[in-house]
Amino acid sequence: MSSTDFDTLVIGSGFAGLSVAHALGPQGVAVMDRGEPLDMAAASSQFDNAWQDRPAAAMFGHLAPIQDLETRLMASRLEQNRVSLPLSHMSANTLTQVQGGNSNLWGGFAARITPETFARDGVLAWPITLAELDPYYAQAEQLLRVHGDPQTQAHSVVGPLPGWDHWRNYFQPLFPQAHVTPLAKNISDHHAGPQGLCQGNGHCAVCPNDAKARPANVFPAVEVMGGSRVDRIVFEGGHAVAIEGQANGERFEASFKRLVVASGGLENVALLHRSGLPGALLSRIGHHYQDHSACNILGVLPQPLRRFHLGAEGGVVIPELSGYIEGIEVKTVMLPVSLSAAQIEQLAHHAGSTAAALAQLRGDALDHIASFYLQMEVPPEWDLELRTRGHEAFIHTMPYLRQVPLLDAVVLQVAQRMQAAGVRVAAIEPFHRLAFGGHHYSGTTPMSRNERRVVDNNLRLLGTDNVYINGGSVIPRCGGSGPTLTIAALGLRLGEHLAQLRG
Amino acid sequence: MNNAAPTTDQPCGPGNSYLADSQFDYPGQAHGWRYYALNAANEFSPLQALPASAATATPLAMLGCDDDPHARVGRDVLHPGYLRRPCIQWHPREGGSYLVSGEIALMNSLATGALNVRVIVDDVEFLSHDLVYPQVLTFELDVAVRAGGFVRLLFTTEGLIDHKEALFYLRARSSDGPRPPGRHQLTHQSTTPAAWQRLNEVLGHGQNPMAATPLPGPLAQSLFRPQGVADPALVQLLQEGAVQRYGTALGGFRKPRFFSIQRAPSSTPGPV
Repeated sequence: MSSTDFDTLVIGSGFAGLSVAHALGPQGVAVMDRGEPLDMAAASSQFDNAWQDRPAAAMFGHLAPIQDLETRLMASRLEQNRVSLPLSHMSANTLTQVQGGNSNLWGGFAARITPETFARDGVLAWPITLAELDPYYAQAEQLLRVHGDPQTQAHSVVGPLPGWDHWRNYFQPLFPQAHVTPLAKNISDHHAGPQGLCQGNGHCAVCPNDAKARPANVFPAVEVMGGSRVDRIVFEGGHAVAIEGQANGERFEASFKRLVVASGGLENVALLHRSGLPGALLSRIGHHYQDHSACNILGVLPQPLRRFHLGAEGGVVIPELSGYIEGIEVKTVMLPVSLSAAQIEQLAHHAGSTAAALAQLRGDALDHIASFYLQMEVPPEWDLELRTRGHEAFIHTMPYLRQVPLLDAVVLQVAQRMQAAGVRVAAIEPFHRLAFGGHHYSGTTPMSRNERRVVDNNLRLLGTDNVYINGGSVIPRCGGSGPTLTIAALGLRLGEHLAQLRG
Repeated sequence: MNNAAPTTDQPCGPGNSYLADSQFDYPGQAHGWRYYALNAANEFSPLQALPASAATATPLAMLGCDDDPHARVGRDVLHPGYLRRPCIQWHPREGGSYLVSGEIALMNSLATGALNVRVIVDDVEFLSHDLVYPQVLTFELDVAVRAGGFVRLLFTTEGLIDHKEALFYLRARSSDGPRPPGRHQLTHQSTTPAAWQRLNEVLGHGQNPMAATPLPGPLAQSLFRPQGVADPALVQLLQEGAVQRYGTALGGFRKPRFFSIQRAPSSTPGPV
C-alpha cells in the first residue's frame, strides 16, 4: 500500500471540489477523483459525426439516439466505476463517473437560489444570508461565464444572451416579468480565458469548449489525480487522519491536515456512511433529500414562436408562473425548442380524430404550441431519505408517492394561471407521476440554522475538527433554481476560509 | 484508526444485528430476496421479460426486474387475462425472530378496483388486504421464521383493473430475543395521504372555505386523462408537418466550431 501526505486533500473534481481548490491556490492542495479524464475533443468529434448523420426524424423530438451516444461518451471505462445507482428512471446522469462526475448535465442553467428560499423557515433553513453569499455568487458567475438577461436583478451576468430582448418583447403582453434563463454559456468573443465560445448545439456534456460543459473547462489549472476511488475516511476520535482507497487496482492511503469531501450528492453520503463517523451524527445524514420533479404543459400562445432562438438548452423563465405553491418552489420555463415526437402524439391523442381538431393541428397551430416546463423541487419537509450501503445508494421514494397529489395541485394551479393569462392549455404531460430525481442530490448533509445541521456555517462536519463538505448535500434548501452555481459559490467561500486557516 | 468499514455482508442499521432491504438487494439475491412469478397453476418461476406481442402490449419490461429499481409491479402482471402474479420472497440465512416491515402503494390515480396484498410466513397467511388508490398500506410483523423458511409478499387483483403499478418497500431485520413458534405481533394500517385531500380542495371537491378557486373541468381532465394511443394517421400527418416546420428553424441552427484551448497536464492516477 502506497502512502502520501497532503496539506489539504479534496475528494472529487466536480464544481464542488474544483472551486475549493481554485480558491485555495495550487500550493499544498491535491484533488482526487475516481474517474478518468474525458477526452472532450474525441467525444465531441464523435458527437458531431452523429449529429451530421442524424436521420430526418431526429430533426425534431428529443434526439434520443444522439442522447444515447452522449451518455455512452460520458460513461467511465474503469471497472471500479461501474456502479449502478438505483434511484429512478430519471437518473441517467448518475452513471457518469468520468472526472467531474455529474457536474455536467444541467444544460448550463446557472441561477442563484431565490431570496424566498434563502429566507424560508422549516425543518431546514439557510443559516447564512443571500447577501453573505453574494460576492461568491458574483465570482462564480464570472468563472462560469454566465450570460442572460441584463435587465434582471436576480443575478449578475458577464454579457447578454442573444435573444433576451426578443423574448422580453414576445412575452410582454402575457407575462411582463418573463426573461431568458441565466446560462453558463460563453458568448463573449473578447474573452481571453481557457473557454471557447458556445457552439449552441445544445449538447453541453460533450462540448469541448464551453463553461457549461465540464468543471475542468472552468478550472483548467487545477490538476486532478484521476482513477482514485476513496473507500473510507479513517478517524481517530473527531480527527480524520487518513483516507483509504484504490487506484489502478492497488490500495493506497493518504494523510492530510484538512480533508474536503466534495464527491457528489450521493457519494458524500455513502462515503460518510462507509467511514463510521464518530458520535450520533450518522443517523442525521441522508435525510431531507431534495431533487426536482417535472411536468410539461403544452400551451397555445397567441403569436407564433421562433424555435431554437436560444439554442436547445435555453429557456424563458416565467416568474408569473413560478414561486412557492403548496410549499413547493416551482420554476416554469418556456422551452423554445420544437415539440418532441411524444408530445405530438399526446396532442393528437388529446385532439381525438375529429375533422375540426385535425384541421386545427394541421394548420399553423404547431407554430403556436410551446412546452412550459415546470420544475418542482421536493422540499425538505417531505423527508425523502437517501439510503446507502457500501457503494450503493437508493432513495426511499414512498414519501414522494404520498405527495404526488400535491404536485398535481401545483400543476393545475399553474395551468389555471396560464389560462387566465390567455395561454390555452392543449395537453399536460405529468412526468411527476412517473419519476423524479437524479439531478440535484441536495440536502442530505445540510448546513442549517437549527439542530438538524450536519455541517456548520463554514461547512465543517460537526464532531470533527478537520473534515469539510461541499456539494449539493450541504444545501439546506435548493428550491427551483438548481444547485450548480450555488455549489461553486459555496466552494469559493470554503476555499477562502481554508486559506485563512492555513495562514 | 479505530473504525472498520462495514461490508455489504454486514448491512448497516442502527441497533440491528441484521437488516435486509428489498431495495438495496434488488434485484440481487445476496441477502435472500427472490423475485418470482406465480402462474395459474401456482408454480413459481423467476421473473423474466416476455417477448413483445399483441397480447403483451402493455409494458412487460418491468417483469424482467432489470430496469426498474423500485420493483414496481407491472400492470401487465395484473391484467385480467394474464394470470402470472408477482411474488417476492425473503429467505433468511437462519431461523429466528424477525421484524418484517413494508409499505405498498398504487402509483396511478387512474387505477380502478383493488390490489390484494398478502403477507405469508412459512405458509401461514398473516395479512390479506385490498389496497385501492390513493391509500398506502404499511405493516410491521414481528414473527418467528423457521430455518429454511420464508417471508412472502404476494399480489393479486380484484376485478377488472388497469393502471395497477404498485411501489413497495420491504425490510426485514432481526428482532431481539427468541420468540416461541406461533407467537407473533402484527400492526398494519391503510391511510390516505393528506396531499390527496388538498388536491380535492384545489379541484373544488372539498369543503375547505380556504380552498382555491375550483378548476375548470377540462384542465383536470387533461391532467387525469389516461395515456392512450393516438390515431396513427393523425400522428404521421403531424410529424410530417413538424419535420417541415422545425426543419426550417434548424436550418439556421449553428453548427459546431472547434477551438484549441489550454488545459492542465493530463491527470495522473493515484497519489504520487
